[in-house]
Amino acid sequence: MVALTEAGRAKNVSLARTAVRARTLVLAAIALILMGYAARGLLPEALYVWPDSLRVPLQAKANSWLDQLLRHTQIFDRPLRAWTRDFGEVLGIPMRFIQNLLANGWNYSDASGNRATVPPLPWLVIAAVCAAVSWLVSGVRLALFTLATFVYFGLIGLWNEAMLTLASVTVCIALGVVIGLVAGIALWRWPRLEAVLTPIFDVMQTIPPFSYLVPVLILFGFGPVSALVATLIFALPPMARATAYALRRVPASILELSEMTGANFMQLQRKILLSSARTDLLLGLNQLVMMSLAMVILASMIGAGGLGGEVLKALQTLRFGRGLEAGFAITLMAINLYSVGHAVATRRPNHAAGPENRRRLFVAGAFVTVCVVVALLHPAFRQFPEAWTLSSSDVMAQGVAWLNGNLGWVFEAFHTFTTLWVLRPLLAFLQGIGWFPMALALILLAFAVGRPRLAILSTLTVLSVAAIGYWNLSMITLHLVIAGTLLSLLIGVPVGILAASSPRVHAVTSAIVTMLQTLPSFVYLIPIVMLLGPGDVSGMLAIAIYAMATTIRYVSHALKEVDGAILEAADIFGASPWQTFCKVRMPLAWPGLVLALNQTLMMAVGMVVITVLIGSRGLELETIEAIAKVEAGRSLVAGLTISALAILIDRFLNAAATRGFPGHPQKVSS
Amino acid sequence: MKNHPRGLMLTTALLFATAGSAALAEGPTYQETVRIPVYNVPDSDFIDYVFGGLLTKAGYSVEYLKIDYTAHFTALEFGDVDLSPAVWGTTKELIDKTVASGAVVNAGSLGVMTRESWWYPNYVAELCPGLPDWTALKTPDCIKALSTPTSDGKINYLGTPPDFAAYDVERIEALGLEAHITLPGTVGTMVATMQGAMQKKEPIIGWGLSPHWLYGSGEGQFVEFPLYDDLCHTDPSWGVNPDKIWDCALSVGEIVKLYNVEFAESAPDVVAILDKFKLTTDDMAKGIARQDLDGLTPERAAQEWLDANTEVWSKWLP
Repeated sequence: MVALTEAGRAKNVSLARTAVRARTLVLAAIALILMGYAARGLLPEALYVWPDSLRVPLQAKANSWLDQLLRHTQIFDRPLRAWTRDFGEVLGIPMRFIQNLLANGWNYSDASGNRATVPPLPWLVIAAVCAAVSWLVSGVRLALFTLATFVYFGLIGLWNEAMLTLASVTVCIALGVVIGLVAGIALWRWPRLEAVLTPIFDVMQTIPPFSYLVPVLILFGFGPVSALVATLIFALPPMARATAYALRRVPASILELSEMTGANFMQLQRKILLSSARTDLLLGLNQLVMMSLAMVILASMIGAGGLGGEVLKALQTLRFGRGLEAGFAITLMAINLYSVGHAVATRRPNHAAGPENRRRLFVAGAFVTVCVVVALLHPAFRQFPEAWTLSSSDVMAQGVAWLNGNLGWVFEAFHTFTTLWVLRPLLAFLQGIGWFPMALALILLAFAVGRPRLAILSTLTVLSVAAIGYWNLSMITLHLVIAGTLLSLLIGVPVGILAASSPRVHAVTSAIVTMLQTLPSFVYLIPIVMLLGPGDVSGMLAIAIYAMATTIRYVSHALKEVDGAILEAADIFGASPWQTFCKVRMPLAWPGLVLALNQTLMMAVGMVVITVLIGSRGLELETIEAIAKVEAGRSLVAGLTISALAILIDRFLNAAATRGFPGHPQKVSS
Repeated sequence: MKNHPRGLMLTTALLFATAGSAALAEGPTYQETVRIPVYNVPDSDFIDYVFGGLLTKAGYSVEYLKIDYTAHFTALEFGDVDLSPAVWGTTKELIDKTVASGAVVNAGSLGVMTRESWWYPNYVAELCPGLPDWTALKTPDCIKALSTPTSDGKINYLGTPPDFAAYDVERIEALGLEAHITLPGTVGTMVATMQGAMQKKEPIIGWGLSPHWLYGSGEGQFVEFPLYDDLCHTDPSWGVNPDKIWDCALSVGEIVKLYNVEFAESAPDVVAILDKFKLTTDDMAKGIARQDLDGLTPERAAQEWLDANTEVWSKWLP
């Protein structure tokens, strides 16, 4: 007993020492940054701005490499793109079939000039089939919701667009699930793959889509296949990661069971592993659906068409009402797809209900048949009649204009204040630090969070960003990300705390959060830019709104996870609610809270790329401007730089999350 | 269990059989669909839809592909888009590189001259009397008069969307101007921001392009920069600043028509129509205004032009 307490005490002391050392290192890093900022002019300027004479011309190199690879590389006497395009053709077969079935129909013509057309399925039939599927997998509520969604597509006059999007998103999700599962299972079976795949996934998730649009376009041609590839690059990693994570959590006893029952390989994967990891997999599916639909708009730039194109057009012509209509259609589609996927995945096999199942199938079949007959009888049920659509008079845009006319001075004051007192000073400070003091400070921070290897990674990143001449642009991007994150935290954290403490608040916020997460961000760019004008202030606001949903969700989740018994114990010991909150709840929720910060920052990085469409200026501008100046390589380098910064932030915060609450000796494992 | 899918297939087949009554028609020589890009920009889209409408009237089937303007050059080079009747000559680098690939041919001018440069509303001329000459922008009085609280004591300048390749940063540096750039992100915002500033009579200079209902109207003027020269963007020693390139305006361009070579081989008739296709500056300004001011879709604006100008376009068709 004595020995045990001795050991425990020694451990406590050493932990306390680590905490003290960590705090000292953090303070030293902050001091270094401040000193670096203050000492500008005293130290050689080369430590702040990388000298032009030593610049590494990576952008120009990348241009020629990419040109060589995409335009001139031959494999077996055929250009590389011929191979990728053939591959794309195969990928495109199911997609084109569904697109033709739902929206385009088929056009044939023979040599003598005769043409034949096969029309797409009638809208009523499509809606009926989808509603019937919803009913079969879930129930009446989802079926009605599905039906309402499809009628909504027709009512706003976007039936064809919605069907194109539905086709491409369905194929994308199906492919994403398959590839994601395979990659995830591979990651789980061969953990060494992680060293290779993790950085690749990180880059895929954080690189701005603008920077790879041109290569994808050359390799896969203009059209839905390119859009599919671009979407998969962005949406695939969460699914693969969720799969690997889920499988790792499957208890060993279940694996043993499979051995004892003599399951073969496929049975093991399908029946045992995937079904016991179901809840975590659903999280991956949810992410996949959300991300695929988030890419719908950017994908429309390279030929996906559909609803995304409509939202983009609304932004480009500042028609808020139209943007909202089309954006809401995307939201409804996302909820539908996810609900159906969720219902399919959580359905429990019911052996007793054979006749019941047959009855349900019969009812669904009868319903569809009736709809088919109705559609055959009257053309209005085949092609959605224009007379039924609601004309969008753009009441919303008029509302925004009214706000501008009557409260314009408020927005202008906000704009001026934020520019002069928040964004400009922040940017001046960040640009004043210089790459060298920043690199040193990051080394100290890496030791503070106990990851010496991070010191190497951060030094390399800072050095290369500075050496290719992107330091200043990075700071411009970063200042917007930081300002947006701070604003998001300023509102999101209190709301998250409230939501964690009261179920009623939670219900309200959770509805708003879902709405914010599924509504395409482009939609709320429109009123923001109409009210505040283009520029950094609008960008900051857009980032904050986009990231806020994540902040609220993660903060309330982190606080709710804290063990209630510990809180009660604190209460019994006579702690005031404030003490309980500061001394018990916050420290225990620390890893979750850091995760919230991390996710908010990642969302902010994701959004900063989009803010280029309302006039932000950093690396995100570089990714698009370079394309306009025929420098696809430069665009890719700028994109990779954004990606590198995001990954660096992520690594630091992840390390901080596993370290425990600053000043508290206990170590909380993640 | 197995009944359901088969039933569904049957009904589907039934639908095809009845609804898909083969619509047979005598068509023109090129049987494939002609793919024309559109960009969600009122000026180019008007031209694209007019030309597309024209081909439809000639009996061709036409597909409009929504694509990013800069990305469309790549698509044209690799034959993912067949032709492009509305390419702004001011995006010279993109055109040159695409044509240099050998896969794309320039079919010449649409007959519309375009101008893209800095533009100011008339009341700004009162604030800075030396305009439209660009050297006026260097006088301290002008800089002060054209600044706003957030422009950092510099000229309040509204730039271009990122895909314009306007070379403003280079120009400002080469000409030694003191201007604070605000970027609009999209053309729609660029025009709306300029309009908003004009309503409040704020000091502003911004990128403008003509033909256009706002920039082409009498409500303002273009700044006169040193005229464009091919050497200006390659040779630093050319022009007022001996050390920098882009000490000049953008080239005054024409709207040109591009087509893919392989497409031209299989559809010479379509290219023949493209060769003859011309519009006037007034046609364009009206087409843009109908969209921006009256809220028409570009398809409708184009249809209006086609309806009103039958005798013009009927001569282009074989």
